[in-house]
Amino acid sequence: MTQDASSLPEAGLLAGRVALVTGAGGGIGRGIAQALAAAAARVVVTGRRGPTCDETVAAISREGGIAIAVEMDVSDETAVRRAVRTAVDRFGGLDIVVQNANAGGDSARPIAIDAITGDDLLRQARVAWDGSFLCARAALPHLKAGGRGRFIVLGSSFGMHGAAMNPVYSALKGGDRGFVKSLAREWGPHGITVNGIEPSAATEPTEVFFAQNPVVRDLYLKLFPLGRLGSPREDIGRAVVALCSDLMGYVTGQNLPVDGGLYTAL
Amino acid sequence: MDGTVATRVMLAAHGLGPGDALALGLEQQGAKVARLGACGASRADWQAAVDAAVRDLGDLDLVVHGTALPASQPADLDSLSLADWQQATSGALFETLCCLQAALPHLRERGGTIVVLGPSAALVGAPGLVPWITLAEAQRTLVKAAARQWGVHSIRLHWLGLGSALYGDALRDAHIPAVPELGPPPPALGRVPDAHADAAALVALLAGRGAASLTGATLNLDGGDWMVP
Repeated sequence: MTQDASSLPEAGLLAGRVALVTGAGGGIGRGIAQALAAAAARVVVTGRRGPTCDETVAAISREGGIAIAVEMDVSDETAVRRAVRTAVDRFGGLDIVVQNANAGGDSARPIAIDAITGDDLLRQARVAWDGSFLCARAALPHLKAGGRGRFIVLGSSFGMHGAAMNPVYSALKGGDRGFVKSLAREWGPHGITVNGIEPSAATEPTEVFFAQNPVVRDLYLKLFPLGRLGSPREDIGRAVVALCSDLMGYVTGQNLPVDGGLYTAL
Repeated sequence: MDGTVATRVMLAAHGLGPGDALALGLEQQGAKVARLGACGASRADWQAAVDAAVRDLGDLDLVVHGTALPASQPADLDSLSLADWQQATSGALFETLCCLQAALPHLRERGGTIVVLGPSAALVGAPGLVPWITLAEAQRTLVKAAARQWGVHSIRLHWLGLGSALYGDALRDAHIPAVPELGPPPPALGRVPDAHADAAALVALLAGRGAASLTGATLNLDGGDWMVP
């Protein structure tokens, strides 16, 4: 049963704002887009595959939210500029950018450091790092103009502890932390906040893997003080909404683990 | 230098301000140091350069690696081209990866130490240096991942943050955040560490027996400016 949108904790928090979410055709990105829409933001749903973005838009529309889909490869300079322009043309501005896109299945592939190729690294960097750069550069004039700009980068706990199983993904996500801290200092004078979120969430591939490997699932979940993986929408999405809202307008330059207590070593 | 380890050092930090002084400091402690120049843009280029350096040294105990601030920085992010951004971030990270990969065959049998240098400002971020700080944090994380993978070979890796003063003119126009401390000016020790004596001594310590149980660490050589929370 679908909950009445007006009774959700995020209801109305982002009324009048426009958000662009990358990698929003599924998983965490879709959850974030849905949460932003439930908070009354108008959402530009972007991703490499148009049909999956359409599905996200349809899910938002069914709940009374407002969203449009824009097919966009986040590593494509022209496509990013076009998506930002579409947001401004359709909704009159751009207040929030959430850079969630990752290099798909590659990011979860265990690999020895001496077996990593340049292609492995650069293919993932094109999406994660170039995507952040291109989105930031294209969005800046609009985030400035709105007076309450928000730029959020989705990182990973891998980027905090440096996971042995996936050095490239870990390094790129660690780099995101530096990006967030530095850009927050650079954009602070414009009134724009820049923050990172390190999520742990149950996405569809995770659920499939756990269904096939229940012993691993049970061991893994014991690492979480809250005993579960987060929901892309209710846990990760709402954290994004909070950071984008006026409630957390004084928070910037932070990399916030939203992970059920997995990572506390600071 | 304790005379039994880290006597053969490879410095792969082309153009890095504190690199020469650090190498000199290590040499004055008894180390033999091979300084790598620009190593090219491929893994094969790096392997050839590292192999040649190790032949000259006779063996390898310690690798010190760092990335110089590109000429395109400091600059606001929105003023950079995509090519500048890629060269300063993923291009430079690939070189770090190549350096680690090229060193591995020479360290795998006997173990050894790798120290990656970066700006201590990476811990707090800096305006105008978004690409360099992004890279530094990625290098710091790659060090941790490599420490986890290569500990079984007795290869220990660390990330060493150097205070901005050690970079000299390279950071002359940068706005490095000041520590939020009222009262007497930082650093806490009342002096700015130097590369020749202080950094060299710390790197030697990390490569010696005294640090044999330490790996994947982040250390900040800034005299006590920024203290990790």
